[in-house]
Amino acid sequence: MNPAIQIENLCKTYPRSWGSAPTPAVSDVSLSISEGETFGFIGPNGAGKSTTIKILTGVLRASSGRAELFGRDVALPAARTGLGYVPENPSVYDFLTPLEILRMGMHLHRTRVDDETRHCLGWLDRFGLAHVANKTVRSFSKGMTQRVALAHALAIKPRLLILDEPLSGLDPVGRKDVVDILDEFRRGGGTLFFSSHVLHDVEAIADRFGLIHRGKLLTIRSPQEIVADQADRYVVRYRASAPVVASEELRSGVYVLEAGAADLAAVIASVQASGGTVQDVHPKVSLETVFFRTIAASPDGDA
Amino acid sequence: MWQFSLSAWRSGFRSRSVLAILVLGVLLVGVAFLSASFSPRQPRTVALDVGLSGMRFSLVLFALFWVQELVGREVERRTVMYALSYPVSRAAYILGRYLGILGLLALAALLLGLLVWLTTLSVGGPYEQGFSLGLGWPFWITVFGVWVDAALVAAFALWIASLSTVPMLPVAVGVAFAVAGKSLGAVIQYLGSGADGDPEFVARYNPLIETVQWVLPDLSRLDWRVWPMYELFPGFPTIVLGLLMAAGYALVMLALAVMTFSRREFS
Repeated sequence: MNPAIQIENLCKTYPRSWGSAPTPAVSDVSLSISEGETFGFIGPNGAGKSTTIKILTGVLRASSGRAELFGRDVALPAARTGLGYVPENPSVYDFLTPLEILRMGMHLHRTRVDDETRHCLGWLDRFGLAHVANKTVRSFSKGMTQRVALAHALAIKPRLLILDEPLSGLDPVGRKDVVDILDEFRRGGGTLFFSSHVLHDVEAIADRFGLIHRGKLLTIRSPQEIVADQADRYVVRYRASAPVVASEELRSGVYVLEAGAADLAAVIASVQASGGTVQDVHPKVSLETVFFRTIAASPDGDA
Repeated sequence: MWQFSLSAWRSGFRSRSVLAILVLGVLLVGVAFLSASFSPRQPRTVALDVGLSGMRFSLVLFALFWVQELVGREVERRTVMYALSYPVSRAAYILGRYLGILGLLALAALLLGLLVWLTTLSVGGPYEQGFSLGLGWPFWITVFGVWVDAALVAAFALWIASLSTVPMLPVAVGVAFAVAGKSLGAVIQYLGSGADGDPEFVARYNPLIETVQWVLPDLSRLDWRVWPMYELFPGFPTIVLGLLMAAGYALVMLALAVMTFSRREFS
């Protein structure tokens, strides 16, 4: 079976103005994503995430290397059959209604359903847009436009979803709804490739994540590997009038301390015994830690 | 391709362009009516002449506006990324948009043509013209020529939009193209008739115009207004050759637009 996404030695350089050298945006990136996998693509601004996504969706052409969707070269229109795509800060057709936009996507992807209108309205309802299904999107807010774009991507019954910063521009409620819908899509066997600045979301959804920095793919890891990295160390944050042993004051009345898994229960008990209140306990090594560590250790230095 | 035409048709309808058509239509009727009122002789012919000139001007503006709105602006706002991520070729997007614009132009031509037709019929009062007008097929075939003229300008503007990174460039270059194309016939005729007896002028500009003729279509060949105005049939060869020229040029422009757009990168 072909992988959903196959990238080999992908390079992309942007030409600059006269007399200056081209800028490399993506350098020698290789990656394979299986069908049914959820892959999070993380990296700082300008790292090459969006460029890679644009090459995969046929918007840009690679300078060298190979990129395939389900075994077909991304340059071929057929490779994009069943591809749901939401670009960063999407701009949808101003003078069309959400219902028309969803229908258009279904027709172009030749998606077959029994009742097209019902199917589209169902997706618009999932994203809280059923009440504006027949209004032109011209007057929609950024968050509503983002949800129209997501509903459009999902209404085509995609086998692969490529989302560039899918959660940006959404309020906390919308964010949770989208994460739930993406999780449902993933559990249904769909392949999801997304980029995000919100590392917590990547950590919550992704089976694996790739960290790209200055055009180079620095690491591909899974949450299991991060758990292994953390060597059973946890950080306890608590509020108290005075610190318990080996704590560091975060701000006035708030302290943190590090503990091993075996000692965790005893540490929490001692905080409570001294009149403190535990605020949260989280693994010492999170995706965020990996993110900063990997970038700092890269040959190009800091972010 | 049909989906892109349909969305262009819907967007064109819902934008302010329909209002602009109505405003221009009212202005057109007003100007044609006033021109006829100020003319001591042949008021209907004058109204028709002014009305058809206004239509030619308005339809070209609409063509440029819709190319800018439905392609140029979509590229600028990156809405085009959706079109590019569909499992269809980029040619389908360009050709679909062009077909949509042709449909919108046809509707505008029909509405404005109807207003000009009604105005021409209503002016003049009891005054009997020395010659009759051809307000049947001759009029509507002339309106068709005006539509073909605008369609050709739209094809050119589409090519410019397919390569332009400056938002208003298709409109600016399109206006220049339309003005030059409409003036070319008169310039050729002037040089051909000896430029008021100035052989030096003819010698200087004739080679330039002969070269320009290869790259710029003579849009005056699509202006058959003498037929409805004076019932002077321009002849089948003139009409057919004008249409063939327009179709050939539009096809070349569309091929260039498809080639340019297919190779273009959208960062």
